[in-house]
Amino acid sequence: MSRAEIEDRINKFLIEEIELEKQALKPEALLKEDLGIDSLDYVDIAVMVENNFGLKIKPEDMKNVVILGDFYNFIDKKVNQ
Amino acid sequence: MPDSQAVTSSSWKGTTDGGDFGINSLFFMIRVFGLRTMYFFMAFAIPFYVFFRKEARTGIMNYYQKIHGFPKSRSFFRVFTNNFLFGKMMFDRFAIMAGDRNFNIEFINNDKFWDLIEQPEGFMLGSSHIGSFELAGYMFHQDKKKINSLVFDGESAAMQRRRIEAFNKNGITEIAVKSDMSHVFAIKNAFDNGEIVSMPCDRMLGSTKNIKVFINNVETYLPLGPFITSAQMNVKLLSVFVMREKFRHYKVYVNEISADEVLPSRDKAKIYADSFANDIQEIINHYPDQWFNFYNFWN
Repeated sequence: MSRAEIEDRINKFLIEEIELEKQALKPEALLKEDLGIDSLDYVDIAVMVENNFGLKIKPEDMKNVVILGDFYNFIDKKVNQ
Repeated sequence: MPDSQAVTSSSWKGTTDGGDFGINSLFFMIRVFGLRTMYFFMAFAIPFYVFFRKEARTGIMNYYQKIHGFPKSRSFFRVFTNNFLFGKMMFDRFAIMAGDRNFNIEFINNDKFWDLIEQPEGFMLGSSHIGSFELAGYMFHQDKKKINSLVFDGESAAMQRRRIEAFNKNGITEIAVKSDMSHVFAIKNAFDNGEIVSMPCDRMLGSTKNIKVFINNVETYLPLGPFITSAQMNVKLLSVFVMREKFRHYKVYVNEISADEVLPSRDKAKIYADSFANDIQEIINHYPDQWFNFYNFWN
């Protein structure tokens, strides 16, 4: 899966399910502080990642995911491993 | 991102008061003097608690007035009953955590729990600060499914150590709420592994999003988290209440909360929250003095 496709899928989910504005979805945006993603949104994210990318996220995997770009990188790395 | 840190809840933190020395002393005294003696001595401390903990006092008075329609004077005196009962149940819990198994436990409608134990899927136990839910883990001890308990990560080291020891003896694992959200993935993985997760359904942990419900026709809010988690992760939800009947006698009430499978997650979560509120209503109307949310829950 290409990087662009991964970003598109993630952005589509964030816009449609988490109801974020498209223009807010910048790679440098902090997930919690800038995008306001809280633990309930992470519940949706955990399910979305499994449904869209067939991945299971371990609790320790998210420790270094701070900005949206980290999340793109994390999924890209896992999907294309 | 920095190392995991405890998330502070928006209201009452739900911790057991006392430092290491106090908690360890309590365990020691229960073992030496026995429960009835501890209840007796505790009774002298209740007035101090009632008078000096204004938020707890007004929160419980407000509960009696709003939910049960008691006049102010009656509500004030019931605060003492409520605190005394809370103290008794705290000592009972410590005794059970210390290994005392001389308690009579009556289960109401617990077949559903044992049915789900036999299924490969994981499920959720919805807890609350009504009665003594923490005892459910000990009362539902079995070897087929691991039980995980979502806990606030801010209690004293001694309390956490005692709890972990007691949890481990009963096959229970803690999932602490962390600022890095790792607990969400720990919960997801637990369900994927066919395990049980217990989550407080009356306290904000990690998220302040809530859902409006009615209890005895009074509008209030429950946290959205457990209900949306159950709906989104597609796991069954059981409400569980462990209520004290008399000395060394508890009743455990279990109810399956369900909604039409085809509904969207948000709609299912709303139905779950309404059902849980209904279960709360039935329980607190039967056990009005076992409401232990010591802050103004109704605002």
